[in-house]
This record gives sequence, C-alpha cells and structure tokens, in this order.
Amino acid sequence: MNSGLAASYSATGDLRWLSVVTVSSHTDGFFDVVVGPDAVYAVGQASEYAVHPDGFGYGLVSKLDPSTGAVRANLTFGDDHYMSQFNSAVWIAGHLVCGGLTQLESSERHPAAPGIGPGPEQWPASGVARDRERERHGRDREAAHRVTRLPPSRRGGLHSLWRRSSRSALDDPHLLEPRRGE
Amino acid sequence: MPSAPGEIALTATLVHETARSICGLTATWPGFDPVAVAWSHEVPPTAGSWVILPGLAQSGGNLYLAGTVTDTRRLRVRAGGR
Repeated sequence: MNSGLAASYSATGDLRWLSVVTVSSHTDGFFDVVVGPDAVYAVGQASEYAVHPDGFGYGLVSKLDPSTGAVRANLTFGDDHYMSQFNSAVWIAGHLVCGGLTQLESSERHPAAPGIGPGPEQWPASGVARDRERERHGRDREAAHRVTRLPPSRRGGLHSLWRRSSRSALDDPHLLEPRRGE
Repeated sequence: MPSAPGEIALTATLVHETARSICGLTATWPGFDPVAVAWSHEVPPTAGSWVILPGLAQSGGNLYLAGTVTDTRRLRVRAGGR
C-alpha cells in the first residue's frame, strides 16, 4: 500500500522537513502541492483500492504546517460508491481550488488511460516502466486539469472542480471511511 | 526562483530509475546557455520506494514537494488493498 509524502527544502537544497501521510487503511497518495498564506496543501487520493471495473477512492486534501510538515487536517471528498481523486490545485483569492475526477467508469473493452485507471492491471508490468508511465500521465493530467474545466459526464470519467473556503472547510476536518471491500 | 540579474534560477525534480531528486539549476538569461546544476539532493522515500513525485511548488524562498511512496510499514489489506 502507498502513502503520501510531502517535503520541504530551502532554496539552497537543504531539507527542512519530510512527512509521510497516511489517512486510511488502503492506498493514499499526493499528486500536487500548493502553498497558502498559513499552510501547505497536498492534494491527491485517499483510500484507493481496486474494485473491478471502476475502482474506488476519495479526493484528498492534507493541510500541513509549513514550518514542520505536521498534518493539521485531512479532508476527503467523494462518495463510497465510486472513485474520486484530486490531480492538481491552485490557491486563488483566499481559496484552495482543486481539480480532479470523480464517478470514474471504465470497461474491459475501453480501459481508462494509465493514471486514471482503477487498478494495478491498468499499468505496464515493469515496475520502473510503470512508475515512469504513471509519472508521465500524472503530469499530463496535471497540465490538462490546470487549464480545463470540463462539464460533468456520467461515462468515461467525470471531471469536477470544487471550490471551498479554506477556513470553513479545513478547520472542520472529517474523514470518510470506505464501506466496500472491507 | 528568485534570480540575479543576467541569470535565471530554476528548480526541478529528477527521475533516475527508482530514485527521485530535487535539483537547483542556473542559466544565463536570456541566452539560457549554458545551464548548470547548482545543487542536487535525492529525496528519501523513507517509508519504502517512490511511486510518483509530481508536486513541486516554491513560496517564501522555500521549496515544497508532494508525491506517493510505497509504505512498507503498513500491512496489506486482504480485500482489495494494494
């Protein structure tokens, strides 16, 4: 299983802090990081695991102390009936704006592209190749979601954008636990 | 990154096989040639091995990274965990 890792370095490359973040009993991970005025926000996916054919997971926002990397809050977004994740985030006018996907659906005839697929069967067999493929597609998705706001769609992957007040949402953290596959 | 006149300072993450590093680069500007590696440090996965390191941001003179590592400290969940 995976965990999220966040780290901070000085401008000259000295390690300031490093935090491994685990929020569920399944796979967690980060895809992007944003710095707000009083916190660092790492976004990604929590509680992801393979459920044929669509997979499962929540969008994840972890609020970290910018000086120590300590976790102040973990927030999950989504529903226990489908997969969600955040691929990227920006800080705009006092708000954390995240982009990602939810209600992903796929079929065996038309599997989702690596990086947005639900399970390990979606990845090349080689570990290094898989990691590179995942990294490449992660960057592709990041770039795509930074510039694109797509309308919701029930089929073929749904792209959503949440806008939350950092204060109201992140000062009231909650964590949803999965109900399937337990 | 904040840069001196006549040069540009950049920061990048580097993938080398299973390792992930963060690098500081400098180049003359606007010529952008040559590009030199000012410093480079491998980012330790600490809990296992790297899966992905896509997040990089800078603020207030500091750099911030976010990614995913396999976590060997965690027990594999019997139903569907990976």
